[in-house]
Amino acid sequence: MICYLYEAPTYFFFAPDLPELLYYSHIPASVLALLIGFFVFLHARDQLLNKLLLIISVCFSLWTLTSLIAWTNVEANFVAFVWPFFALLSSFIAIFSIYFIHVFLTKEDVSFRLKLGFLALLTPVLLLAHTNLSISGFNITNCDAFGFEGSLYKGYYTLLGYVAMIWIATLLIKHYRKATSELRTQILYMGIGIESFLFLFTTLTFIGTYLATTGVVDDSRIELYGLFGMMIFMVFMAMLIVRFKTFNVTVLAPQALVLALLILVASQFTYVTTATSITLTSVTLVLTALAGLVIIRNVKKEIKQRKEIEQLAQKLKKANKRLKELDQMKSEFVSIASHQLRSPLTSIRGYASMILEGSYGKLPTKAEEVVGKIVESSTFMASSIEDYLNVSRIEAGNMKYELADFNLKDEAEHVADDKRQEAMKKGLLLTFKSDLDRHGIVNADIGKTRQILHNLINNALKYTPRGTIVIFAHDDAKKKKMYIDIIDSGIGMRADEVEDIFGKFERAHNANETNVTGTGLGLFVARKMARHMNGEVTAMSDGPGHGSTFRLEMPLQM
Amino acid sequence: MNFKRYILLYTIIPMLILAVSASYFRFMVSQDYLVTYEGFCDPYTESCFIYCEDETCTDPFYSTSITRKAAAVFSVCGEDITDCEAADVCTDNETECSVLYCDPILDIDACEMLSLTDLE
Repeated sequence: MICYLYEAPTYFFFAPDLPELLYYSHIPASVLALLIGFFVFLHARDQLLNKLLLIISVCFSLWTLTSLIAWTNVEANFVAFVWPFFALLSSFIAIFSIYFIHVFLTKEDVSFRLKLGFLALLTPVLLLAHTNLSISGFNITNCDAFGFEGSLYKGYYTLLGYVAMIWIATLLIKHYRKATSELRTQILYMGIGIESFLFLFTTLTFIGTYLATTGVVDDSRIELYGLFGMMIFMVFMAMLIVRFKTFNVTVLAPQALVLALLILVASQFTYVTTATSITLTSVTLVLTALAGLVIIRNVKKEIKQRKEIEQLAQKLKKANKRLKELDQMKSEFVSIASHQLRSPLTSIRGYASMILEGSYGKLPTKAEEVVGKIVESSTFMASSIEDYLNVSRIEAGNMKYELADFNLKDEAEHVADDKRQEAMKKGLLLTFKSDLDRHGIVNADIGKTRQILHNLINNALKYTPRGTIVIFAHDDAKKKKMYIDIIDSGIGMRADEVEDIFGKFERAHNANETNVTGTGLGLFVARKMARHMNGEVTAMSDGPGHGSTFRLEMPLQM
Repeated sequence: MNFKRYILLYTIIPMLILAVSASYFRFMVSQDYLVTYEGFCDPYTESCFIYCEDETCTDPFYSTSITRKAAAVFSVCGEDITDCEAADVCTDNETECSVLYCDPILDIDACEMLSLTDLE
């Protein structure tokens, strides 16, 4: 039976005098749905969510195919045969959308009872599709079946669309309230996408066919706008894939954008008619594809490089962590080893001193010299061990500080007095001077402060072959600072070495010229200790051969 | 249980095949459905539906609305009812065949019945 007023289509779908929007609304939406549906499915076939998206996409595409047949075909028998497919596919889209959202939100399959519920909702549509309740006849003048659709049947499957919308909205709102911020964004994207699709699709197809049935309009072209709902849905799906790797699929944003651009350009073929327009659209499509390929390739390359750098940084981080662990182990080893050395050394020093003092009888002069060297060397060794122990304590964070108020000027004077004898032995003049506005009270660990001063004066003694060492105590009431300067006339140092000498095991470049022994830890320990007590140790020098000044700076208690 | 897991698949697919097959048989094979189309109408003897191609309506088209079983129309006219006079007439043994004339009470603008004086 032929619709006698219409021309038969060429190539199955192409007929004259059709709405301009027909192909533009059907083909790109259908292609986009199938592309995303299959892309997602093929990337993770075992995922139920991906399978459900594919089912929705395929149902929608079959719906658009049925619609194109109904719009263009003039074979009444064939159009009447496919007409019930509208009901079947619309119902599938509605029910599988609910199923899809359940799985999206709970990340698991729905219960058996719910599946039975879905089945119960679909069964009437399936079983009555071929009956008069679905479609009883066909108008071969208008070439449609709008006037013969059963209102009860049509009402039922349209209602399924609205039930799906309400069901999905309820589920989304319920889960949105409990979700974390990132999941909320995903739920929002999904909600806007699927609700826009279902609303536009269900409402406009229903209104379009209702108006055509009642004769208000000649055809159902308003339904064409409903198909754009699928495009909105797929855009939101693409955003979910790119931003959140939903569906277990990783896609780069440029890939998605290039694909969208290609579909948009290609969709122009659905309405361009002149040869020039077709040529220009073809050229644009090819150029867009080429540019897209270049962009995607470059982005992939950049991402690969970024991943390599990230991996290297990760390896470096691990290596650094390992180094710190080794450093810690080394400090622990030094600490243990130093403790083991200190005890026998104390005995050696004690007995040697007693021998030297004549506790075991008078010693020959030569033996006295030898024992004197034993005492001197063991004293140096004990001092070195103390330095190592201090370093290991500082690095392990085990150094204990007992803060108390005391007079720094007095302590500096005492240390200067202690060291004067040693200076005199070396032929040096060690003097103490002070110029204070305040009393010189500081809050610090008195023992550690003494040790700092000892280390600084020892340093001056070591590197001053001749001349003087002046210990100068002064303060700055405005800055609330107290300073002890150790000013020597020794070997001095270059400006670029001033900071380096505070490093661990560091000595000035000309230190070897003085023929003195040292661990290179004294200044390191002094600065660390001072800083721990809110103080500072600094050094100044006018250059090699012009002496040095080391300064201990401590906050003044007013 | 696999059946419980795939219950939708196991039930919907057979029902879908059944629905499509039944539709195919009804519409494509037995043509067991009604068709409606415009039949010939003589405006001097019958109340016809009038269709105009433009606002001046210089060349109006008069018709009735015929509803019959597709199989019956196919048996007398074949695929195309154009120029098939038998399409405008219900046969005696046809139960579901009706010719609808325009009812001026329902829509006077859609109907036209000319008098013989118009012919003169």
